[in-house]
Amino acid sequence: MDDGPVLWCKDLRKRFKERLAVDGVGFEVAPGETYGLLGPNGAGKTTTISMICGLLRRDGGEVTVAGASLDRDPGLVKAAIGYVPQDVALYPDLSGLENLRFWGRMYGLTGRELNERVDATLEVVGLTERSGDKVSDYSGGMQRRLNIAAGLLHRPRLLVLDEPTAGVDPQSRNAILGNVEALGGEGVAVLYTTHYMEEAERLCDRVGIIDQGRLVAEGTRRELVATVGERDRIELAATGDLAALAGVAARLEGVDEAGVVAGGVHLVARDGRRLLPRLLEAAEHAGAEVTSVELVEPDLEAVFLHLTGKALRD
Amino acid sequence: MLRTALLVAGKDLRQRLRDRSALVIAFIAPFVLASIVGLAFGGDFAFRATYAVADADRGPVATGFTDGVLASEGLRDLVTVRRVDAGEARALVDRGEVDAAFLLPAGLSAAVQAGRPATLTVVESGENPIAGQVARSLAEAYTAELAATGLAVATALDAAGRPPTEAAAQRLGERAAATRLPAQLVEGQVGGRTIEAANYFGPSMAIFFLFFTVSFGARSVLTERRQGTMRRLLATAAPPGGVLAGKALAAFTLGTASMLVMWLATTVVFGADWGDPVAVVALIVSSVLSAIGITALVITLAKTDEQAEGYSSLVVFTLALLGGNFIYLAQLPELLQRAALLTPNGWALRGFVDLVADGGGLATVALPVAVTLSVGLVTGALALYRARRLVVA
Repeated sequence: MDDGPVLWCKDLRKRFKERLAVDGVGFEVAPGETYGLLGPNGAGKTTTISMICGLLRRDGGEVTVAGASLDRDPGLVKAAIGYVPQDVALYPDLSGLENLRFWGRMYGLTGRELNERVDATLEVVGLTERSGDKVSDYSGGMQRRLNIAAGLLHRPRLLVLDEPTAGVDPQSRNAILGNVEALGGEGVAVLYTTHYMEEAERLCDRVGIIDQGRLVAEGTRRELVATVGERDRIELAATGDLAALAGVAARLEGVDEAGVVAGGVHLVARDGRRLLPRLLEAAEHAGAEVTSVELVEPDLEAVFLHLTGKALRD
Repeated sequence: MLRTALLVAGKDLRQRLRDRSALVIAFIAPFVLASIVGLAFGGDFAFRATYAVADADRGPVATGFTDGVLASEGLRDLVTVRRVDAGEARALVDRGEVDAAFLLPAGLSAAVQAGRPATLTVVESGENPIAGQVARSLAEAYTAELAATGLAVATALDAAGRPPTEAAAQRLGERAAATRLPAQLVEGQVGGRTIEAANYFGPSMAIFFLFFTVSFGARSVLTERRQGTMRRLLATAAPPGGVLAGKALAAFTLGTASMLVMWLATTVVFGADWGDPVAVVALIVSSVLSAIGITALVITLAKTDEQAEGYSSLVVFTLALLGGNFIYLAQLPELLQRAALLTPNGWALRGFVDLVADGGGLATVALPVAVTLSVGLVTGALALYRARRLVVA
């Protein structure tokens, strides 16, 4: 199974009374791959990973981690997973070092191995200097980093991160994302849930878009963006003969749509970056003066909008 | 499972030992409060009373009461008698200088000898209700016995055709006085059983604070749920049963340590003697288990930390009030003394008192140990059943 996916799950289902929270979700994560579950709050991300980690009883579906079935070998599955919960789950009255020692022991580490792993992990998250301080004295960002460290101690095959940057300052967020990026290079499979499109685009090799408990699309960023046609939006703010500008622009190769809007011209085009010089030249010939240009390339936000009809943060 | 339990227990104990309030509750407050309450109640709990006796009779029946009852072997060391006239006796009662007064009217003996109605008056001060109750009981018992012996007087009168001689009347008075003291006095928890304050309020306060000390075990389950560490614990391969066992083990360790420290402290500082060590340890263990069981059951009924704290405080104070943790049980009415045996702390306290007052070993405390242990096991099992919802998704 070493060459196979670290995580394989299929047809996961969970119902809370009348609400179907997860409906037939399935995907796999390969060694060294970072897989993002992208969706708005309440989409079913946490419920999905709770079932994968054995924290929530499934109504249906299968989970295999590192070749072990969650139904048959839950202990093996849990030992192969490093779980980092959404909120900081540490003991605030213990020091960072004491927390890591405790969690390391809970994952079966002892003696010298435990000490070495704790030291190394503290180094990775940049908390060696503050390891003797109580966690309650840490900043929010430091607590988040220690929260991740506790999930990394036993060198899991699969690291499950549930929105690890929620409510974190930009600096700490950047540090956390850097840590996660480094993990992929070390061969750890990462399952990362987020509702931040930027994080999914930066970190994830593949993204599963989840909405209302269903996985509505899955693939690399390029594959997902292709589903909305890979067309860019260009907003030209201009003065002068705007109708002439729209007419000239519409005849340029690569422009699919062009129309006059208040204070300018709106265009839909393929490969907008390469089109811009020709567009500005055409404007000059049309007797219009362009005062600003905004190029909006398709992203996962647009994909989500396209697939669900709503924004990620709705 | 065992490894998980030990790791969780070690972590919980480390957290508790860092918490100053927990240390105060477990080790300092019981000792301080026991000292204060002990001082407030005096050095010991042997029954003591001062009675005024106004003997206007001077006859054999009155002497039988003063010398035969009040100066009897059972009461001699416990009762101080002030012989005064009736007016002074009432005045002493009014001023609270004596606990009660016995008014023995002139002609009492003659009336008894003649089979006429006679009155022995008891005036209580009300400041020491126990002493007043004892005075009334003594008088009632003596007059009841006189009534019984009065039949003998009447019989003697009928048989001989003349009143009994003074010597015969004196013998009857002596018989009345020599009868058993009132059952209430002899068999009650007061008469003849001396309990040093430290020997009573030491265990009493230790048991009271024990409930608070061990309640952290169950409360920490809710706390860990709130702070997300319970999910994280269960995401490791830790069995839920191991987590709960670890929390119970930590509570048991801290609760037992608290009781042992109290035992040691009252022994060293106040010279207390809790009794046979093996029996004391058995009582401590069973008391700790019952406290863990009860608090755990109460706390599993709560949904939040705040609710848990409220519920457990309510239950602990109710049990303490009923169980006699704040006041010497023997000073309470019979009904409340019986009510104390509806509580595990009441049983535990009874065990400690029996051990001090009656001596003996495990046999002396067998029933209290059995009751408290049973309460602990039953409530613990129910708590465990309810706690599953807290540790299993």
